[in-house]
Amino acid sequence: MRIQRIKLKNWRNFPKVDVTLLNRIFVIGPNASGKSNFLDVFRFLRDIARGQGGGLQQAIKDRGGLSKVRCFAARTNPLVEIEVYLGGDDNGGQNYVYRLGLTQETRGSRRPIVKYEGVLRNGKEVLVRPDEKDDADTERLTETHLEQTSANKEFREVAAFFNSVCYLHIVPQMVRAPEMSIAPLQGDDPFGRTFLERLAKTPHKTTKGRLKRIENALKIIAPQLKELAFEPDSKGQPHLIAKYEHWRPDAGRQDETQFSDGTLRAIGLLWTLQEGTALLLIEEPELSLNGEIVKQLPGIISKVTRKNKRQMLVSTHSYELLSDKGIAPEETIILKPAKEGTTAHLASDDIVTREMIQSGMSIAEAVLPLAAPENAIQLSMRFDATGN
Amino acid sequence: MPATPVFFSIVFEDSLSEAVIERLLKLSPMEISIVRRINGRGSGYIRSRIRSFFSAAVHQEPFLVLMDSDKEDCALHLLDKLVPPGKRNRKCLFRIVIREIESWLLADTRGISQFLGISEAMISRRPETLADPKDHLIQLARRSKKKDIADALVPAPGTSVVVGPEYNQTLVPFVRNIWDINSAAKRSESLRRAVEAIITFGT
Repeated sequence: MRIQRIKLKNWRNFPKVDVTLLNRIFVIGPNASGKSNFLDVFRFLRDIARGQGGGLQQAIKDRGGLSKVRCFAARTNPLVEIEVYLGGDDNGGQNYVYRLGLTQETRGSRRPIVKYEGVLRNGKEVLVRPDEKDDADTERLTETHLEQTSANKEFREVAAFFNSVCYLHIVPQMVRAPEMSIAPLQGDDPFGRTFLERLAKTPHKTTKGRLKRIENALKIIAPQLKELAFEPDSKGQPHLIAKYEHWRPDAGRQDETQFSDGTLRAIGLLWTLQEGTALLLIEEPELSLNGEIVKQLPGIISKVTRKNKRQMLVSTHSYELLSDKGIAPEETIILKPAKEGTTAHLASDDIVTREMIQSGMSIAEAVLPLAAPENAIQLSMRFDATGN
Repeated sequence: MPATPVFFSIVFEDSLSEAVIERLLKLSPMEISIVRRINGRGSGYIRSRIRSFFSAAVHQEPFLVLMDSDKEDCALHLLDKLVPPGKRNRKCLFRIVIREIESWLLADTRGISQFLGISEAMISRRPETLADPKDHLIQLARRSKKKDIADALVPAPGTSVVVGPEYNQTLVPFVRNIWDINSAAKRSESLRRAVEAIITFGT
């Protein structure tokens, strides 16, 4: 299953969004345009669907309250609305629409509450809220049915899909020294902190196959690399070991504490790409990642989305990454900030962009200049022509 | 109130020529918004892509491309070579600067002399005939009474670079705030034509 379309109203810095999503999506935009906020809607749905330790109240609380989630530009219509279209050929052709409208109590502790919640399965309504039970007991509106196993039988597939959404933003220091991290872990591993543990839990054969693929990708930046392996040390602690060609036997061995930041990030990223089939959100993979690996990423991502039927959303600034001529404008979402909030469009909506791509230019050449920071400066004849 | 703005994509060689384009577009009687800024990082990229810009440009979303002629003496000859007459249209403004963008800056002799703190008489009267306008500008900066300007524009002794360490950072504010484009257009034919093309664009 994958997300085919997303509609948002008053979500964070987006007053209104309606975009279709292919299997591989690149989200681009200037700094502070809301790339993370856009990805966050999928994490938000995951946090709601998580049930234990999650749920609507917690998901809103983690984000600093509904006022932080609601678009600052929202005035007359304070509802925060999310509508997700799910489908795909790998689940028996079932398709769903999940929609959620949120507001908050008008008195008391002003908790966030469900204004409406609905699910369509193959065009048929299987959930419509508020229902009579909600009317009789308004306390029920503090929770979604998405987070309740007892209530989501008709669309459990949707809940499971959201629950499995994976977010990746690896910080190398945290892989090396997990004891240094302070924030409590919230059920998933956004910062790659428990990366080594995850490796240890994976069946040996799977680990070997994945490491082999990572090894091949890493050889682009480190041709001397001979083998990447996962081995316990004398105390039984597992370590990632890289073996290099070296004239002295055993001299060319490094464990993860000796890897460069770029190597660690590359390994973490390439591992996670291969792990599972759930929607994967990747935040700015180019940060501290070797440029040569960055150039390969669109191709690697395409391969995984094709073979594992896995959907991936990648936020990026990277000229190198977007220079891949295989990236289509239909796969590219461009965010444009303005006074009234940020808009999101497919790059293919713009006729000039389509023409530039068709004449052989890359997204980096044709679309990235739209996200230039000095953008949207209104020039007018009122400017003094001489500047004196 | 003005009608919908015209959305320009601009193509330039570096931040200095970008600043020049911004000044040029301010001369237009139309409401203009720059939507796409393409930094070609030199003329090689622009030469290789210029025909794409001509084919991508549409009526409400035109292109303005500014490129140095470098070694080429004749702008028209260069234009014919890069874009044959049949491939041109009026939705892409392709302006070629004779030699280098510095020749357009130098053409405002009064502005340059005040900015660098040198006598106006030292500046070439015909900047388009200079074989190396950038070098001319730097040689003038060497004789500047303003130490700050000289240090910024002139390569430090012992280095083998062509321009000083704060070359563009220093000249961009000059272009934005001081450069008198109309007076410069009187000494530079390629600038005069560019100004005319901008003012009459869309009419």
